[in-house]
Amino acid sequence: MRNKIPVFISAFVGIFMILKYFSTYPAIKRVADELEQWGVITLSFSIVLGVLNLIKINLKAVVERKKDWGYKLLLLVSMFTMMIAGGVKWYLEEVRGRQVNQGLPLAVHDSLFDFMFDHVYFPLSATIFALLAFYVASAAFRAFRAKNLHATLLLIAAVIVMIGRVPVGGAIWKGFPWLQEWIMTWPNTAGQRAIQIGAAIGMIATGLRVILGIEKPYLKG
Amino acid sequence: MTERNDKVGIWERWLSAFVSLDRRWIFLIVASVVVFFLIVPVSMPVTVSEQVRAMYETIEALPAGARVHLSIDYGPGSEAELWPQHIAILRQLLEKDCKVICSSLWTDGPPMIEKAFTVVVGQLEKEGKKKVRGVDYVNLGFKAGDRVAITKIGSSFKETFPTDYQGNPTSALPIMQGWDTYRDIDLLITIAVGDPGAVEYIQQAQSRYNIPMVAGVTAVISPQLYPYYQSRNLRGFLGGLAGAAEYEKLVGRPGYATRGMFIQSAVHLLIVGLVLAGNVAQFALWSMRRKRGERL
Amino acid sequence: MSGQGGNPFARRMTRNTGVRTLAVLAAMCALPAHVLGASARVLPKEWHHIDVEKLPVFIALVLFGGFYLYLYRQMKAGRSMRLRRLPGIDAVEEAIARATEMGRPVLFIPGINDIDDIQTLAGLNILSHVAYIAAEYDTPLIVACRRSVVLTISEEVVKAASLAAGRPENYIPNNMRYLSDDQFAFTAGVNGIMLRERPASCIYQGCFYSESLILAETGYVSGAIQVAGTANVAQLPFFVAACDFTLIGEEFFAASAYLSRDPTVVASIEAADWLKMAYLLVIFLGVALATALALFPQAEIATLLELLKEIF
Repeated sequence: MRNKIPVFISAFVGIFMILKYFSTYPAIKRVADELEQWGVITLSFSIVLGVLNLIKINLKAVVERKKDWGYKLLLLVSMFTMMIAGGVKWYLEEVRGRQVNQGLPLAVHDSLFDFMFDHVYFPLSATIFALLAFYVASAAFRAFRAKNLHATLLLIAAVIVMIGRVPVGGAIWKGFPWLQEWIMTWPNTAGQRAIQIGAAIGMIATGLRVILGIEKPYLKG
Repeated sequence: MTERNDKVGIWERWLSAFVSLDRRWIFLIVASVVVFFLIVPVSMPVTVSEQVRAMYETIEALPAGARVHLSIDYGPGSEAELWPQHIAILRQLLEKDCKVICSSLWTDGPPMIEKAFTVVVGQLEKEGKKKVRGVDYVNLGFKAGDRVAITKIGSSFKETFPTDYQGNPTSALPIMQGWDTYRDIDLLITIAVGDPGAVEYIQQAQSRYNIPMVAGVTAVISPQLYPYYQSRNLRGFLGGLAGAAEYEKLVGRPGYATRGMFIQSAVHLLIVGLVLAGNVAQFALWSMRRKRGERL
Repeated sequence: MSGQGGNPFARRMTRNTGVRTLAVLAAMCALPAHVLGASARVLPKEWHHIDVEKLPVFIALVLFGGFYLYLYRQMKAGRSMRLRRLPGIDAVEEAIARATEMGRPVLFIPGINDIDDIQTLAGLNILSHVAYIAAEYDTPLIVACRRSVVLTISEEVVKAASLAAGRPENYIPNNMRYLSDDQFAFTAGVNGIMLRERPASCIYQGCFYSESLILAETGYVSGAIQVAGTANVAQLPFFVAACDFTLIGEEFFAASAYLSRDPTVVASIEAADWLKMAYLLVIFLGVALATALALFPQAEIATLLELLKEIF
């Protein structure tokens, strides 16, 4: 019974969602929309589980002075600072804002939350993304080796596209931009379509396996 | 004989060291090239590709007063690639007197929208073209829900965004009068970094409402858009900084992307050089080992 | 993916890489859709509260369901099926064994999307097998999640797999970690785990975006053996370049069947192969009709072509 109920729930909801996809019948749409709302509410509550997990693991490490406990303390301090700043912003916009803005929320863009968002979160986020430029260089240097025919083809295509994509390619040889465009438009598109068709069919198979309870990893025990 | 063996040994050691070069040296070389060309700018002629020209022509063909939904689906992480596209497109739209309705499916998108409006509206004001918030352009802010949010926006802008980013009721804004769904939109543009982004807009909005759509995406995402461009789901698209530079050339205002083109060219050449040198070194190493009768 | 027995044509085609080559050739031959988009709709958009525009998806589901039922019954009747070797999946067991030898943990990331993404579900299916093998080998498994729902389900999956392997103690709650909902904060957190806890193997199975290369390169630096799998085409080149093994698109979705060897699951993989065969035929028919239309512009051919587009 313990195993059957979750499978029944997932099959019921899954089949209803499939029905909603194909049918324009208002009653089906209403029930499916209601189920979607339940999903959104459940997902929203689950964020609490995530935060609790984060606090539990990191607080324990700090209290027990485990290895690298300083990083964990920094994480907790940052998290609570941002949460408090977010709460203050919400209060200014939704509670005090409505009092002074004829019942409508007031947009506040100069709070502590905004400051940290603009001057801490923005640059940190951009920095991690910018690492890609360096990692692409090191990964390309290591991976593009003409070890066999396939690797050689990959290497040749990569070199043409890398040179042809930038203006210097046209300056070196006028054919580079055309050649890279040809590679991107034809072999690339063909490969993309082939992978996408295969992946889409794989998605159908996986989706149905989960909906019909053929595969239920969470119930393995 | 011994001296010759030593020489071969040194070469082999050098080649071996180069083939497995510590990646921090590569980082240092890349950083040096970028910094050098930032200090010493060099300009390069830019060749415009077909899909970029198609996007430019689609926007150019819009009449004055056309309604454009500009979805800004990126954050500061990808600002380097997408900001120049954002600025060039927004300026072209406002110069053509289009009504620009901005929103975002990314939490960090609305500040990017505000920043771009500040820059472009400020530039236009200096040139004597006044643009008014709520009349010529609007920032509707962020909407959660990814794909579901796109379908909601399509069925009703005013219900999906009851207030704009500044907290004004959407239904009271002059720019929002007399229309509400994607059927009333003349062009859909997304400047996007991932999911939700261009592909999701094509699936949930473009194909459903059959509206003209163009997109600006990062270089990594652009190969994914070629099939949609061929199938005419997309009228055109920009890929990464190179796409932005081509667009800047078409709109006649070389800017950040055009300046960045030589840096990008130099880094691309550097990577190609490193890859080729790595291969040459690897082949030389294999040949030395083969001569010694070692199995590879 | 391949299966043995049954339809000899499908068996021949799926045994080797011919099917991939054919798919690529067919896609290369396919004319751009705007060439085909001239004629008007043949079928109505809606029929008795049924959205006819979604007919192609319905047909795909019906075909898949039909193929699956047929193959399932065949299998029940004693037909054996064999999957072609997937080095990427074979490497998973090898990676866990390596971690056991080195006395270091295995790191698993089920993608960065939420549970509503089918790739996350596929990743969790693979996690179940990884957790089972890790429990058998008595090797600690760290699971890093970006979404709290995925964390909750991952906890259940690892707990259930450890119990099934007869080692419930191998489930360590502190090793199930939610890091952050923010993409790059999550990436930084995973990098921290890789560099501080030095997992011997990193397994990435799910939907990944720009963080793919950052994760894979950091994993490489930490000296881990890396196995990736995703259906996100834009990220595949990064994983191919930086990881030891990569499962591409459909391979990733078939991985759990390959690992479980459960005949009911394996039958669904062969059904997917059959569906692909059916689509190849449709592609060839479409190409033939479009070519015919280009050579002989007749209304009947245009209608037939339009009908084919609306059905598939």
